Amino acid sequence: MKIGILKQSINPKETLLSAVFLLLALSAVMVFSASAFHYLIVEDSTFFLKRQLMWIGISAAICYFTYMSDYRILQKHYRLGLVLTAVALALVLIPGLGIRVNQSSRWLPLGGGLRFQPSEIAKITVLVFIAGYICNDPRRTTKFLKGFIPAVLGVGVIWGLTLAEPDLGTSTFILGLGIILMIIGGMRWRYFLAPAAGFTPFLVLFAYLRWEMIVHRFQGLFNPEGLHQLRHSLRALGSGGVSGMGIGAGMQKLRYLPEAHTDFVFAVIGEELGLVGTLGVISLFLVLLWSGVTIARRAKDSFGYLLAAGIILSLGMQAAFNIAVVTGSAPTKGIPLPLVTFGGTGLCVTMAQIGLLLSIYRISQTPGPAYFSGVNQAELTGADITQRTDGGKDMEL
Amino acid sequence: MKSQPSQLSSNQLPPGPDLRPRALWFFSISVTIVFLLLGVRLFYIQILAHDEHLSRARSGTGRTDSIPAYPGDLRTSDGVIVARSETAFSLGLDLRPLSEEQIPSVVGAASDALGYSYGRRRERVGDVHRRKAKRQIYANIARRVDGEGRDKVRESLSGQLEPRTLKKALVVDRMTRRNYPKDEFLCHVIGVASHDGTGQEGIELSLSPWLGPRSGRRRVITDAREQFRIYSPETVEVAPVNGYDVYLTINSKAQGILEEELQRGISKHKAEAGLGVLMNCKTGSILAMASWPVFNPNDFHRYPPKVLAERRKNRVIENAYVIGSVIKPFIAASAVEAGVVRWDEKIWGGGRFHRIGGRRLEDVSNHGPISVEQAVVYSSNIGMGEIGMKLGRDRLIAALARFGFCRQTGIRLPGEAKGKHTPADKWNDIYSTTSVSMGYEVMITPIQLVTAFASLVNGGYLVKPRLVDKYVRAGEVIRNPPQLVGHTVTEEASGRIRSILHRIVEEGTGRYLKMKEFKFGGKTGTADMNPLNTKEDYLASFEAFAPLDDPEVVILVMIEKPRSGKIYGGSVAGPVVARVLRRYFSIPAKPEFERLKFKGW
Repeated sequence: MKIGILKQSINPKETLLSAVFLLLALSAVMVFSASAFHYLIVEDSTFFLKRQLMWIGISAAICYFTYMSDYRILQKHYRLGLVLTAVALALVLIPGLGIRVNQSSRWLPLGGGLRFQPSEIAKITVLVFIAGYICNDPRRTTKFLKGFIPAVLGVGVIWGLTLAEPDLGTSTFILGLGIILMIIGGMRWRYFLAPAAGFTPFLVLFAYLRWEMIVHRFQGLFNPEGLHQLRHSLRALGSGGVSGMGIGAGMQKLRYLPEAHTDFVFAVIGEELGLVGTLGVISLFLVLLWSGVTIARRAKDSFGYLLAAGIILSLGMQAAFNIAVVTGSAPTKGIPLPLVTFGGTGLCVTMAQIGLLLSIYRISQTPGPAYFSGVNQAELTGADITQRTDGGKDMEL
Repeated sequence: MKSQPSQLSSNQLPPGPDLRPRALWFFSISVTIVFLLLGVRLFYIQILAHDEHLSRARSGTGRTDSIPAYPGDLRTSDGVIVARSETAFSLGLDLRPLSEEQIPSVVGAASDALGYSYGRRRERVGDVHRRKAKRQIYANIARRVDGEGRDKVRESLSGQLEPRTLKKALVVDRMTRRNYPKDEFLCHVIGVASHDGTGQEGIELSLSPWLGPRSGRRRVITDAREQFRIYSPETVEVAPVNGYDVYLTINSKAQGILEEELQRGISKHKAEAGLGVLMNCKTGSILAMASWPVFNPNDFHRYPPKVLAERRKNRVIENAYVIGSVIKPFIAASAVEAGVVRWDEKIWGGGRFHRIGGRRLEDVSNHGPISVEQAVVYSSNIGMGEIGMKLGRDRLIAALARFGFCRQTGIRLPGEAKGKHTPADKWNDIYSTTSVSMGYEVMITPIQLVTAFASLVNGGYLVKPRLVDKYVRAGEVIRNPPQLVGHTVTEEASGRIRSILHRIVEEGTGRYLKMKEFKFGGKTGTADMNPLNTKEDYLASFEAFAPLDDPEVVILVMIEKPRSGKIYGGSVAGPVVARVLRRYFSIPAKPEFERLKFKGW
């Protein structure tokens, strides 16, 4: 089959790495362009560029490290990450310890002026938790009390702690990511009915009580001129036209557009590189998405499959949501554009995720038994695959 | 091994009922579709709504700033700058980086550097304090100081503030200011303009279309808080154009002489006011124009309104006077031109008193039988009355009109008065006719008089008084040529009048001004400024031309309300004229000529 040959001839690792490389290069340029104006305030136009380059270096090292290590170790310690993340998220909430910005404490000080955002880490630990939880005992997908409820509780703790920061965007995202991964992991559909049924009254109540806030949130979709950030975001994108005003020539970043070098960097790309730039970024994310999907499908075991699927959907959804926010198609929430937005923690987490994808791909290319959870695995493939129902005791290759 | 995952098709991989590959398919395709929809949305925003967003972005991210252009300079014909625009600086304080405690020392230091008085210094400090208390962010400390002042303030503040704070706190705005380097010199002609070059008075006002600059426009990109401005050369939309430099016809030497002598004459005769004009009688170019009292255009806005109202007036053009005897040559010439009399025709048999109709006329002294010529030479009221009666109402009014009396000359100065005479329908055939012949019942502005007088001696050519010689801008020169307005008398009549006017100086009412070395002609005039009441206010005038053979200049000097005891034109205004002519034609001064006693008409 021709398509099959084509599919096989595409090396997902290469396409993934090219997309990542191009996005990082664009990130360095656009973060510099969007933040260079700050020299008038901090008297160092390369302040953010230097930091971004430093973080690109650090995160590249993290990426290489995760790439060379075996992702299957995570399956054994799937709870550890979640617990650590929960502790970090709890620490953030302690007054005086967490760094508060805009009435929301999301950061922990690392010393040396650096800070660290545990909710970014949560985006990966939740994935590891669900994937590990399901793959360590596939029967959990078929049990409600001993299977579904603990998974929901694990995700729920993270969700609650993130929501308490407060960070509605990230918490909702984490919850959604957990649910999506449970669905892909094979959790029975009917289990979702009970929490949904239990949750709906609260949602309705919330909507009733905070209707004005919700209307305000969605105002941008219909009346973008009414919201300061969105107004300038659309002006930036719109004035870019086909090929943009040229790198550095944008105007909205001159303190008109808040968060120009972080969450709204896509608007600056649109202003300075035009439709060519924005569609280019979207294309790169599509390449990233489908490279990731290919890696997931070629994964050697179901943990790798689930983890890769979670990672790539996480990245794709974040990118799509960020672009939707910037274009005024979704309510404004602080979801960064992966790989492009300025920010150390986010970049390190994203690059660690890329590293995991590459690790999954690397191991899928090595000869050895493929481990798939599920009792019907052997029946379906007819291969002499070791069944794993014991928490991955024979993990070594 | 046997089953490489890559060889499996998507709905088989990974096999097993636990995982849902279709769910991954579903979610990844959903994300892809969202991306594609976002692409469509971006196409809409960036292509279809591009113009709308671009115009909003443009209007929102900057503003249009004007690029300052300079008004032109005013120069005399010999190049002396009498009005110019120069760069000045407005100094202010950004109050944000300053603490409450710093303000007295900072503003005090700045005030000291600017040389403010104690009171002004206190007032400044108080003002800045109030602004700070009101949380205002800006306070002005000096307007339109020169570069030196700016440097002084900056230096004095650097002793008070950290360099970083100073950079933030001291706000220097560049602007232009109008400066009159010669102060009172030529003030009434120059007038005054505001600092941006908008004329308010004088030629600054009437020539503002020429002097005025056209400032340019450029787009300035500012950040959202307007804290920084970003300029770029490409954003200039309209280039600035400086105003024309205007060269006046005024000769600075002549002007200096006239002003000095006029002032001397006024103070000597304790007069209230006075004026003088020196004109090139062939081209109508005004060589000097002076009016007293004067003002300093640099301090224009500091005069009390009442004082300013008196001082700002350019009497040469803004005042119409009852001029008296100086009109007599015009009337006599008109009568001869009209053919009603001849120059040598006897018109009065002698005696000091005469009754025409019901009106008694009186001369200062009995000159015996006099001709038309002698009536002018001795300034005989009786003779002029007779001439007027011969002319009659209509020809008198026509004569006034022909000389351009009671009509604006069109000199390029604002506020020119028109003057007036008794209108034809209210004309009394005895009183009005005889009065107008002697220079009463008619009000004439000095500029009309001097222009008409020029035509009388230059062969009858009535020219428009000319104040602007040329307009110059960046190598471009636009000349303002002399303009002929009409003809008044014939060449022969003009020649005869010159000799009569010379006789006045030789043997007539102006004989005490006679100069051996230099021949000129002129006519005296002494007008009662309040003919209807007893208060004795006189207007002493003298009009003259020189040199005799080929007249070059005409000059008129009028002195209002002399209080030295002397009131006559020949003794109050005449010496001023004689001195100006001496100095203008560089004739050595004759020390005696002032000591000669004036014995009346």
